[in-house]
Amino acid sequence: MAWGKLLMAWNQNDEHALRQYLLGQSGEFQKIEQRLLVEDEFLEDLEAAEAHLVDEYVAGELTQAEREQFEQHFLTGPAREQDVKFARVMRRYVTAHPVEKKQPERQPWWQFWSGQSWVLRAAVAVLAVVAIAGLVWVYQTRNASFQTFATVNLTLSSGNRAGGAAPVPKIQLRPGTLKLNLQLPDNSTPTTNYRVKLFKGDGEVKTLEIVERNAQSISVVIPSAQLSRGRYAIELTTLGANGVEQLVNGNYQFAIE
Amino acid sequence: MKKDWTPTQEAFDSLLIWLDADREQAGRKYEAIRLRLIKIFACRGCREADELADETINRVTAKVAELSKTYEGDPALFFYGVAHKLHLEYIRKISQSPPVPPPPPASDDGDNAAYDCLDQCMRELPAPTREMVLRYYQENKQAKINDRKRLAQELGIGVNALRIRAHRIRVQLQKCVEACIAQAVLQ
Repeated sequence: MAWGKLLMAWNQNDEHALRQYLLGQSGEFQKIEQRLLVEDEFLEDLEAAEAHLVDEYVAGELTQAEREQFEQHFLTGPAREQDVKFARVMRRYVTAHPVEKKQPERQPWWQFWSGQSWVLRAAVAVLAVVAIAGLVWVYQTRNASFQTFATVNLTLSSGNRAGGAAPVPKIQLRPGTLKLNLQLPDNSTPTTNYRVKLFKGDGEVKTLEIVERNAQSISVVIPSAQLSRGRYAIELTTLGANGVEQLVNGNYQFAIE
Repeated sequence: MKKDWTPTQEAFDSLLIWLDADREQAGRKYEAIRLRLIKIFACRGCREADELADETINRVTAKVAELSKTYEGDPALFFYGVAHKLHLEYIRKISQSPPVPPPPPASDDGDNAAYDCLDQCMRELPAPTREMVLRYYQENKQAKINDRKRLAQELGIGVNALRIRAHRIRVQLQKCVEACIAQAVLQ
Protein backbone atom coordinates (compact mmCIF):
# COMPACT_ATOMS: atom_id res chain seq x y z
CA MET A 1 0.00 0.00 0.00
CA ALA A 2 1.36 3.45 -0.92
CA TRP A 3 2.19 5.76 1.98
CA GLY A 4 -0.45 8.27 0.90
CA LYS A 5 -3.18 5.60 1.04
CA LEU A 6 -1.86 4.28 4.35
CA LEU A 7 -1.95 7.76 5.82
CA MET A 8 -5.46 8.34 4.48
CA ALA A 9 -6.65 5.02 5.96
CA TRP A 10 -5.08 5.97 9.29
CA ASN A 11 -6.78 9.37 9.21
CA GLN A 12 -10.13 7.81 8.38
CA ASN A 13 -9.75 5.31 11.24
CA ASP A 14 -8.79 8.11 13.59
CA GLU A 15 -11.77 10.20 12.47
CA HIS A 16 -14.13 7.28 12.98
CA ALA A 17 -12.68 6.57 16.46
CA LEU A 18 -13.07 10.23 17.45
CA ARG A 19 -16.65 10.31 16.20
CA GLN A 20 -17.51 7.21 18.26
CA TYR A 21 -15.79 8.78 21.26
CA LEU A 22 -17.73 12.04 20.92
CA LEU A 23 -21.00 10.13 20.78
CA GLY A 24 -20.00 8.23 23.94
CA GLN A 25 -19.79 4.95 22.05
CA SER A 26 -16.07 4.28 22.12
CA GLY A 27 -14.69 1.30 23.99
CA GLU A 28 -11.25 2.89 23.74
CA PHE A 29 -12.09 6.21 25.34
CA GLN A 30 -9.14 6.05 27.77
CA LYS A 31 -6.69 5.57 24.90
CA ILE A 32 -8.12 8.63 23.13
CA GLU A 33 -8.10 10.74 26.30
CA GLN A 34 -4.50 9.85 27.11
CA ARG A 35 -3.47 10.76 23.55
CA LEU A 36 -5.31 14.03 24.00
CA LEU A 37 -3.21 14.82 27.07
CA VAL A 38 0.18 13.95 25.63
CA GLU A 39 -0.11 14.73 21.89
CA ASP A 40 -0.19 18.44 21.08
CA GLU A 41 -1.95 18.23 17.71
CA PHE A 42 -4.57 15.71 18.79
CA LEU A 43 -6.71 18.40 20.44
CA GLU A 44 -7.16 20.12 17.08
CA ASP A 45 -8.10 16.80 15.47
CA LEU A 46 -10.69 16.24 18.18
CA GLU A 47 -12.11 19.74 17.81
CA ALA A 48 -12.31 19.36 14.02
CA ALA A 49 -14.18 16.06 14.55
CA GLU A 50 -16.53 17.86 16.98
CA ALA A 51 -17.27 20.56 14.41
CA HIS A 52 -17.90 17.91 11.75
CA LEU A 53 -20.30 16.05 14.03
CA VAL A 54 -22.15 19.27 14.86
CA ASP A 55 -22.47 20.04 11.12
CA GLU A 56 -23.90 16.58 10.49
CA TYR A 57 -26.40 17.08 13.30
CA VAL A 58 -27.49 20.44 11.95
CA ALA A 59 -27.73 19.05 8.39
CA GLY A 60 -29.89 16.17 9.63
CA GLU A 61 -27.35 13.63 8.44
CA LEU A 62 -27.17 11.61 11.68
CA THR A 63 -29.14 8.42 12.12
CA GLN A 64 -31.92 8.38 14.73
CA ALA A 65 -29.67 6.53 17.20
CA GLU A 66 -26.75 8.92 16.58
CA ARG A 67 -29.03 11.89 17.00
CA GLU A 68 -30.20 10.61 20.38
CA GLN A 69 -26.61 9.96 21.45
CA PHE A 70 -25.66 13.43 20.27
CA GLU A 71 -28.42 15.13 22.26
CA GLN A 72 -27.94 13.07 25.41
CA HIS A 73 -24.18 12.69 25.52
CA PHE A 74 -22.61 15.38 23.35
CA LEU A 75 -24.93 18.35 23.72
CA THR A 76 -24.02 19.08 27.32
CA GLY A 77 -23.13 22.55 28.42
CA PRO A 78 -23.49 26.03 26.95
CA ALA A 79 -20.28 25.84 24.88
CA ARG A 80 -21.57 23.03 22.72
CA GLU A 81 -25.00 24.58 22.46
CA GLN A 82 -23.20 27.65 21.17
CA ASP A 83 -21.37 25.46 18.63
CA VAL A 84 -24.67 24.08 17.34
CA LYS A 85 -26.09 27.57 17.06
CA PHE A 86 -23.06 28.75 15.13
CA ALA A 87 -23.26 25.71 12.82
CA ARG A 88 -26.90 26.54 12.03
CA VAL A 89 -26.01 30.13 11.15
CA MET A 90 -23.04 28.98 9.11
CA ARG A 91 -25.19 26.53 7.17
CA ARG A 92 -27.79 29.21 6.47
CA TYR A 93 -25.08 31.58 5.28
CA VAL A 94 -23.34 29.04 3.05
CA THR A 95 -26.66 28.00 1.47
CA ALA A 96 -27.41 31.67 0.71
CA HIS A 97 -23.96 32.20 -0.83
CA PRO A 98 -23.38 29.40 -3.33
CA VAL A 99 -20.00 29.38 -4.96
CA GLU A 100 -20.03 28.68 -8.65
CA LYS A 101 -18.41 25.32 -9.13
CA LYS A 102 -15.33 25.31 -11.28
CA GLN A 103 -15.40 22.77 -14.05
CA PRO A 104 -12.65 20.31 -13.31
CA GLU A 105 -9.78 21.33 -15.54
CA ARG A 106 -8.28 18.81 -17.85
CA GLN A 107 -5.23 17.56 -16.09
CA PRO A 108 -1.95 18.05 -17.93
CA TRP A 109 -0.21 14.74 -18.57
CA TRP A 110 2.70 15.55 -16.26
CA GLN A 111 0.29 16.21 -13.39
CA PHE A 112 -1.36 12.86 -14.08
CA TRP A 113 2.00 11.14 -13.79
CA SER A 114 3.05 13.08 -10.71
CA GLY A 115 -0.07 11.69 -9.04
CA GLN A 116 0.92 8.08 -9.70
CA SER A 117 2.97 5.86 -7.42
CA TRP A 118 6.75 5.83 -7.92
CA VAL A 119 6.63 2.12 -8.75
CA LEU A 120 4.31 2.73 -11.70
CA ARG A 121 6.35 5.73 -12.83
CA ALA A 122 9.60 3.73 -12.67
CA ALA A 123 8.03 0.81 -14.58
CA VAL A 124 6.74 3.11 -17.32
CA ALA A 125 10.14 4.85 -17.55
CA VAL A 126 11.93 1.50 -17.94
CA LEU A 127 9.42 0.38 -20.59
CA ALA A 128 9.88 3.67 -22.46
CA VAL A 129 13.69 3.27 -22.44
CA VAL A 130 13.40 -0.34 -23.64
CA ALA A 131 10.95 0.67 -26.39
CA ILE A 132 13.22 3.50 -27.59
CA ALA A 133 16.28 1.22 -27.52
CA GLY A 134 14.30 -1.39 -29.51
CA LEU A 135 13.29 1.14 -32.13
CA VAL A 136 16.89 2.36 -32.47
CA TRP A 137 18.09 -1.24 -32.83
CA VAL A 138 15.46 -2.06 -35.48
CA TYR A 139 16.30 1.15 -37.36
CA GLN A 140 20.03 0.42 -37.31
CA THR A 141 19.55 -3.21 -38.29
CA ARG A 142 17.28 -2.20 -41.14
CA ASN A 143 19.74 0.38 -42.36
CA ALA A 144 22.61 -2.04 -42.00
CA SER A 145 20.79 -4.60 -44.16
CA PHE A 146 20.66 -2.07 -47.00
CA GLN A 147 24.19 -0.82 -46.55
CA THR A 148 26.87 -2.13 -48.88
CA PHE A 149 29.64 -3.59 -46.80
CA ALA A 150 31.93 -4.23 -49.77
CA THR A 151 32.10 -3.44 -53.48
CA VAL A 152 34.25 -5.80 -55.47
CA ASN A 153 35.17 -5.69 -59.17
CA LEU A 154 35.34 -9.17 -60.68
CA THR A 155 36.75 -10.13 -64.04
CA LEU A 156 35.68 -13.10 -66.05
CA SER A 157 38.07 -15.97 -65.56
CA SER A 158 38.37 -18.62 -68.22
CA GLY A 159 38.75 -21.46 -65.72
CA ASN A 160 36.06 -23.77 -64.45
CA ARG A 161 34.01 -23.27 -61.20
CA ALA A 162 36.70 -24.93 -59.19
CA GLY A 163 38.94 -22.00 -60.00
CA GLY A 164 41.72 -21.14 -62.39
CA ALA A 165 45.12 -19.63 -61.97
CA ALA A 166 43.90 -16.04 -61.26
CA PRO A 167 43.76 -15.09 -57.54
CA VAL A 168 40.28 -15.26 -56.05
CA PRO A 169 39.20 -12.13 -54.10
CA LYS A 170 38.51 -12.87 -50.44
CA ILE A 171 35.72 -10.88 -48.84
CA GLN A 172 35.09 -10.46 -45.13
CA LEU A 173 31.41 -11.12 -44.42
CA ARG A 174 29.61 -8.29 -42.60
CA PRO A 175 25.97 -7.23 -42.18
CA GLY A 176 24.57 -5.49 -45.26
CA THR A 177 24.91 -6.28 -48.92
CA LEU A 178 27.82 -7.23 -51.11
CA LYS A 179 28.01 -5.37 -54.39
CA LEU A 180 29.75 -7.09 -57.27
CA ASN A 181 30.72 -5.27 -60.47
CA LEU A 182 31.07 -7.91 -63.16
CA GLN A 183 33.36 -7.03 -66.07
CA LEU A 184 31.52 -7.97 -69.29
CA PRO A 185 33.16 -10.00 -72.10
CA ASP A 186 34.82 -8.00 -74.87
CA ASN A 187 32.22 -9.05 -77.42
CA SER A 188 29.35 -7.70 -75.32
CA THR A 189 27.03 -5.18 -76.93
CA PRO A 190 24.72 -2.71 -75.18
CA THR A 191 21.71 -4.65 -76.38
CA THR A 192 22.84 -8.02 -75.04
CA ASN A 193 20.66 -9.24 -72.16
CA TYR A 194 22.20 -11.29 -69.38
CA ARG A 195 21.03 -13.63 -66.69
CA VAL A 196 23.31 -13.88 -63.66
CA LYS A 197 23.48 -17.04 -61.57
CA LEU A 198 25.29 -17.52 -58.30
CA PHE A 199 26.81 -20.89 -57.39
CA LYS A 200 28.39 -22.19 -54.25
CA GLY A 201 30.45 -25.29 -54.80
CA ASP A 202 28.51 -27.23 -57.43
CA GLY A 203 25.02 -26.13 -56.48
CA GLU A 204 23.13 -23.07 -57.73
CA VAL A 205 22.23 -20.67 -54.95
CA LYS A 206 20.05 -18.23 -56.83
CA THR A 207 19.60 -15.98 -59.84
CA LEU A 208 20.78 -12.46 -59.15
CA GLU A 209 19.08 -9.30 -60.24
CA ILE A 210 21.12 -6.80 -62.20
CA VAL A 211 20.96 -3.46 -60.41
CA GLU A 212 23.27 -1.38 -62.60
CA ARG A 213 24.60 -1.67 -66.08
CA ASN A 214 26.99 0.22 -68.32
CA ALA A 215 28.95 -0.60 -71.48
CA GLN A 216 31.72 -2.46 -69.61
CA SER A 217 30.04 -4.04 -66.61
CA ILE A 218 26.91 -5.06 -64.82
CA SER A 219 26.38 -4.88 -61.08
CA VAL A 220 24.57 -7.24 -58.76
CA VAL A 221 24.04 -7.15 -55.02
CA ILE A 222 23.83 -10.09 -52.63
CA PRO A 223 22.42 -9.69 -49.08
CA SER A 224 24.85 -10.95 -46.45
CA ALA A 225 22.06 -13.20 -45.12
CA GLN A 226 22.37 -15.27 -48.34
CA LEU A 227 26.12 -15.69 -47.98
CA SER A 228 28.24 -17.91 -45.80
CA ARG A 229 31.88 -18.84 -45.60
CA GLY A 230 33.12 -20.53 -48.77
CA ARG A 231 33.90 -20.09 -52.36
CA TYR A 232 31.37 -18.78 -54.92
CA ALA A 233 31.13 -18.57 -58.66
CA ILE A 234 28.91 -16.45 -60.88
CA GLU A 235 27.97 -17.45 -64.38
CA LEU A 236 26.52 -15.27 -67.08
CA THR A 237 24.02 -16.39 -69.67
CA THR A 238 23.09 -14.30 -72.70
CA LEU A 239 19.45 -14.19 -73.71
CA GLY A 240 18.97 -14.16 -77.43
CA ALA A 241 16.12 -12.42 -79.23
CA ASN A 242 14.66 -15.84 -80.07
CA GLY A 243 14.65 -16.80 -76.40
CA VAL A 244 17.67 -19.04 -76.64
CA GLU A 245 20.04 -18.86 -73.69
CA GLN A 246 23.79 -19.21 -74.18
CA LEU A 247 26.28 -19.64 -71.40
CA VAL A 248 29.19 -17.21 -71.47
CA ASN A 249 32.54 -18.96 -71.27
CA GLY A 250 34.26 -18.60 -67.93
CA ASN A 251 32.93 -17.31 -64.59
CA TYR A 252 33.52 -14.80 -61.81
CA GLN A 253 34.86 -16.14 -58.58
CA PHE A 254 35.10 -14.86 -55.04
CA ALA A 255 35.41 -16.30 -51.57
CA ILE A 256 33.66 -15.31 -48.37
CA GLU A 257 35.62 -15.46 -45.12
CA MET B 1 -18.41 19.43 43.02
CA LYS B 2 -17.49 20.07 46.60
CA LYS B 3 -13.97 21.34 46.83
CA ASP B 4 -11.91 19.38 49.37
CA TRP B 5 -8.92 21.68 49.48
CA THR B 6 -7.94 25.14 48.26
CA PRO B 7 -4.36 25.36 46.97
CA THR B 8 -1.92 27.80 48.57
CA GLN B 9 0.41 29.96 46.47
CA GLU B 10 3.32 27.84 47.66
CA ALA B 11 1.62 24.60 46.58
CA PHE B 12 0.71 26.14 43.21
CA ASP B 13 4.36 27.20 42.68
CA SER B 14 5.46 23.66 43.53
CA LEU B 15 3.02 22.34 40.93
CA LEU B 16 4.51 24.61 38.27
CA ILE B 17 8.05 23.53 39.18
CA TRP B 18 6.97 19.89 38.92
CA LEU B 19 5.56 20.56 35.47
CA ASP B 20 8.71 22.29 34.23
CA ALA B 21 11.77 23.96 35.73
CA ASP B 22 11.24 26.90 33.35
CA ARG B 23 8.33 28.90 34.76
CA GLU B 24 7.10 30.18 31.41
CA GLN B 25 7.11 26.69 29.97
CA ALA B 26 5.42 25.38 33.13
CA GLY B 27 2.65 27.98 32.68
CA ARG B 28 2.06 26.82 29.12
CA LYS B 29 1.92 23.17 30.21
CA TYR B 30 -0.51 24.03 32.99
CA GLU B 31 -2.85 25.79 30.55
CA ALA B 32 -2.59 22.93 28.06
CA ILE B 33 -3.45 20.34 30.70
CA ARG B 34 -6.37 22.39 32.02
CA LEU B 35 -7.79 22.91 28.52
CA ARG B 36 -7.56 19.19 27.78
CA LEU B 37 -9.12 18.19 31.10
CA ILE B 38 -12.07 20.47 30.35
CA LYS B 39 -12.38 18.83 26.95
CA ILE B 40 -12.26 15.34 28.48
CA PHE B 41 -14.98 16.11 31.04
CA ALA B 42 -17.12 17.74 28.35
CA CYS B 43 -16.66 14.69 26.11
CA ARG B 44 -17.76 12.48 29.00
CA GLY B 45 -20.99 14.43 29.07
CA CYS B 46 -20.29 16.60 32.14
CA ARG B 47 -22.01 19.98 32.17
CA GLU B 48 -19.58 21.34 34.79
CA ALA B 49 -16.45 20.48 32.82
CA ASP B 50 -14.54 23.62 33.91
CA GLU B 51 -15.19 23.02 37.60
CA LEU B 52 -14.20 19.37 37.36
CA ALA B 53 -10.96 20.27 35.58
CA ASP B 54 -10.11 22.79 38.31
CA GLU B 55 -10.94 20.29 41.05
CA THR B 56 -8.65 17.74 39.34
CA ILE B 57 -5.82 20.29 39.35
CA ASN B 58 -6.45 21.11 43.01
CA ARG B 59 -6.24 17.45 43.99
CA VAL B 60 -2.98 17.01 42.09
CA THR B 61 -1.60 20.23 43.64
CA ALA B 62 -2.41 18.87 47.10
CA LYS B 63 -0.14 15.88 46.41
CA VAL B 64 2.60 17.64 44.48
CA ALA B 65 5.16 17.70 47.32
CA GLU B 66 5.09 13.91 47.42
CA LEU B 67 4.71 13.48 43.66
CA SER B 68 7.80 15.53 42.82
CA LYS B 69 9.88 13.00 44.75
CA THR B 70 8.26 9.74 43.74
CA TYR B 71 6.37 10.09 40.43
CA GLU B 72 8.10 9.14 37.21
CA GLY B 73 6.65 9.79 33.76
CA ASP B 74 4.58 12.44 32.04
CA PRO B 75 2.75 14.54 34.70
CA ALA B 76 -0.20 14.92 32.31
CA LEU B 77 -0.99 11.23 32.75
CA PHE B 78 -1.13 11.59 36.53
CA PHE B 79 -3.71 14.35 36.07
CA TYR B 80 -5.61 11.93 33.88
CA GLY B 81 -5.74 9.28 36.62
CA VAL B 82 -7.08 11.82 39.12
CA ALA B 83 -9.63 13.12 36.59
CA HIS B 84 -10.87 9.59 35.94
CA LYS B 85 -11.53 8.99 39.67
CA LEU B 86 -13.21 12.37 40.01
CA HIS B 87 -15.48 11.52 37.09
CA LEU B 88 -16.60 8.34 38.84
CA GLU B 89 -17.50 10.45 41.89
CA TYR B 90 -19.37 12.86 39.62
CA ILE B 91 -21.42 10.04 38.06
CA ARG B 92 -22.40 8.76 41.52
CA LYS B 93 -23.42 12.28 42.49
CA ILE B 94 -25.55 13.12 39.43
CA SER B 95 -27.29 9.74 39.53
CA GLN B 96 -28.85 10.91 42.81
CA SER B 97 -29.80 14.38 41.40
CA PRO B 98 -32.88 15.21 39.29
CA PRO B 99 -32.24 15.29 35.50
CA VAL B 100 -31.19 18.60 33.98
CA PRO B 101 -33.93 20.10 31.75
CA PRO B 102 -33.07 20.49 28.05
CA PRO B 103 -31.96 23.98 26.96
CA PRO B 104 -34.65 26.32 25.60
CA PRO B 105 -34.89 26.49 21.80
CA ALA B 106 -32.80 29.22 20.18
CA SER B 107 -34.65 32.37 19.24
CA ASP B 108 -34.73 33.57 15.64
CA ASP B 109 -33.69 37.06 16.75
CA GLY B 110 -30.41 35.72 18.10
CA ASP B 111 -29.83 33.73 14.92
CA ASN B 112 -30.44 36.80 12.76
CA ALA B 113 -27.96 38.86 14.75
CA ALA B 114 -25.41 36.04 14.45
CA TYR B 115 -26.11 35.83 10.71
CA ASP B 116 -25.40 39.52 10.21
CA CYS B 117 -22.25 39.22 12.28
CA LEU B 118 -21.13 36.20 10.28
CA ASP B 119 -21.68 38.12 7.06
CA GLN B 120 -19.50 40.92 8.42
CA CYS B 121 -16.79 38.46 9.58
CA MET B 122 -16.81 36.66 6.24
CA ARG B 123 -16.26 39.94 4.40
CA GLU B 124 -13.15 40.52 6.50
CA LEU B 125 -11.60 37.32 5.18
CA PRO B 126 -9.34 37.46 2.09
CA ALA B 127 -11.37 36.51 -1.00
CA PRO B 128 -9.63 33.14 -1.65
CA THR B 129 -10.09 32.12 2.01
CA ARG B 130 -13.74 33.14 1.92
CA GLU B 131 -14.31 31.13 -1.24
CA MET B 132 -12.51 28.15 0.25
CA VAL B 133 -14.71 28.20 3.38
CA LEU B 134 -17.91 28.55 1.35
CA ARG B 135 -16.91 25.67 -0.89
CA TYR B 136 -15.81 23.51 2.03
CA TYR B 137 -19.13 23.79 3.84
CA GLN B 138 -21.34 23.50 0.76
CA GLU B 139 -23.21 20.37 -0.29
CA ASN B 140 -24.30 17.37 1.75
CA LYS B 141 -23.05 13.82 2.25
CA GLN B 142 -21.34 12.24 -0.81
CA ALA B 143 -21.37 15.45 -2.87
CA LYS B 144 -19.59 17.16 0.02
CA ILE B 145 -16.96 14.41 0.23
CA ASN B 146 -16.27 14.58 -3.50
CA ASP B 147 -16.18 18.36 -3.56
CA ARG B 148 -13.74 18.43 -0.65
CA LYS B 149 -11.46 15.97 -2.42
CA ARG B 150 -11.52 18.19 -5.51
CA LEU B 151 -10.89 21.31 -3.43
CA ALA B 152 -7.94 19.64 -1.67
CA GLN B 153 -6.51 18.69 -5.08
CA GLU B 154 -6.88 22.24 -6.35
CA LEU B 155 -5.07 23.57 -3.28
CA GLY B 156 -2.40 20.88 -3.56
CA ILE B 157 -2.96 19.55 -0.04
CA GLY B 158 -4.40 16.40 1.51
CA VAL B 159 -8.03 16.10 2.60
CA ASN B 160 -7.00 15.96 6.25
CA ALA B 161 -4.89 19.11 5.92
CA LEU B 162 -7.87 20.82 4.26
CA ARG B 163 -10.12 19.72 7.14
CA ILE B 164 -7.75 21.27 9.69
CA ARG B 165 -7.33 24.44 7.58
CA ALA B 166 -11.12 24.87 7.27
CA HIS B 167 -11.54 24.17 10.97
CA ARG B 168 -9.04 26.89 11.94
CA ILE B 169 -10.90 29.43 9.81
CA ARG B 170 -14.20 28.26 11.32
CA VAL B 171 -12.83 28.77 14.85
CA GLN B 172 -11.63 32.23 13.81
CA LEU B 173 -15.09 33.03 12.37
CA GLN B 174 -16.91 31.75 15.44
CA LYS B 175 -14.76 33.94 17.71
CA CYS B 176 -15.34 36.90 15.40
CA VAL B 177 -19.13 36.32 15.51
CA GLU B 178 -19.16 35.99 19.32
CA ALA B 179 -17.16 39.23 19.65
CA CYS B 180 -19.50 40.95 17.17
CA ILE B 181 -22.62 39.83 19.11
CA ALA B 182 -21.07 40.90 22.44
CA GLN B 183 -20.31 44.32 20.96
CA ALA B 184 -23.86 44.65 19.61
CA VAL B 185 -25.26 43.82 23.07
CA LEU B 186 -23.08 46.52 24.67
CA GLN B 187 -24.33 49.10 22.15
